[in-house]
Amino acid sequence: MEAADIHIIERCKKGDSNAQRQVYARYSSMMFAVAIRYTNARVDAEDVMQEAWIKVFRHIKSFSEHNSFEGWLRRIVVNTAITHYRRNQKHQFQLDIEEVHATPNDFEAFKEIDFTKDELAKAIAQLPKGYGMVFKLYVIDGFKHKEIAEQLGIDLNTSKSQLSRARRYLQDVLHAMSQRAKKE
Amino acid sequence: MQKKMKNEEFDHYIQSQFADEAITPPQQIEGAIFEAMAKNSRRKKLGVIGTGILVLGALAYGVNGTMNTAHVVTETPPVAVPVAVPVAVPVAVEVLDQEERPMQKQEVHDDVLPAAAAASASIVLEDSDPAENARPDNLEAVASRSVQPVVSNSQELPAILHETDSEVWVMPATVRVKE
Repeated sequence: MEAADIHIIERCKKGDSNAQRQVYARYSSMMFAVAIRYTNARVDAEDVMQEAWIKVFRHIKSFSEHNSFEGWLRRIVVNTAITHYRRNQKHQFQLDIEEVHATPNDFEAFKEIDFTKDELAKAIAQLPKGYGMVFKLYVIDGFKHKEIAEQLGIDLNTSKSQLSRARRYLQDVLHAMSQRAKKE
Repeated sequence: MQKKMKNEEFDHYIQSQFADEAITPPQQIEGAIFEAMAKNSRRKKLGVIGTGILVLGALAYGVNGTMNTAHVVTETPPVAVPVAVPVAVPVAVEVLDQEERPMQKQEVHDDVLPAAAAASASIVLEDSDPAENARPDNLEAVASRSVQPVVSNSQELPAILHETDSEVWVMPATVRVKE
């Protein structure tokens, strides 16, 4: 971490509102993108964003300069999004430990086509809520199955099976998208 | 193994797409965040001030309490001696005898002192004239005269008073003297 960043964080720890605004200006776009990815709705993302930033400044004293500040912020917004998700959860996870195996050729088709980030985001947004949450946590934000299980309050094997199902579902969606693109 | 590699490859592809994602949030969010934080901060400050006031109040109350206690304790010794206050009655009577003037009502009525009220009574007496109460010759006189005329001959007292002069003072009181 750069000395300037450490200095700003130190000022934030002392409650300096100018420093807080500087940190906000620098990382708010990243935070909002993560919030949107987890909520799939702008209004919900704004709630998550606000809640997450208040947590950030309230707990910034506990941040250690030895860690990545961006990683710490990302974790906070993801955790806040999970809390929000669980609060509004309508979809219940099913305890299903059946593994869905991907075939060796599952992803071959995607090597030829480059999906844009927006297209991928749209495809991921189509995942059923439970699948989508596990997929995003595991694939995009690097959570382990154990962490996911704890955060979502599900069984470890459920997390694994949800991820497999999510991958399979996403393949179908992307495959359909690529077929459409080829036709056009 | 091959399947695993494929999964990892796909995961990596997805992850790389979202690595530097950024979406500018609406302007009003920043205002809302910092306003909420300012509110929290104000609440926190008020809480600290309130707690401080409570602590100071409690301390002040405690100090007052100990001061009052100390006051009572320090004032207690004179109270212990003035147990003899009831004995002041005969003194008054004696004064009456010698100078032939009516007794002071206050002196007469200070005869009964329940233990619980001893402190307050003593304070009243001290306010009136602490020096006189503590006068050694008075105490000696009181001690020498003891209690005999007052307690044992309570019925004679009105007669004595009557003899002296015009007014008759009735004292509906019992006098207890500690030995």
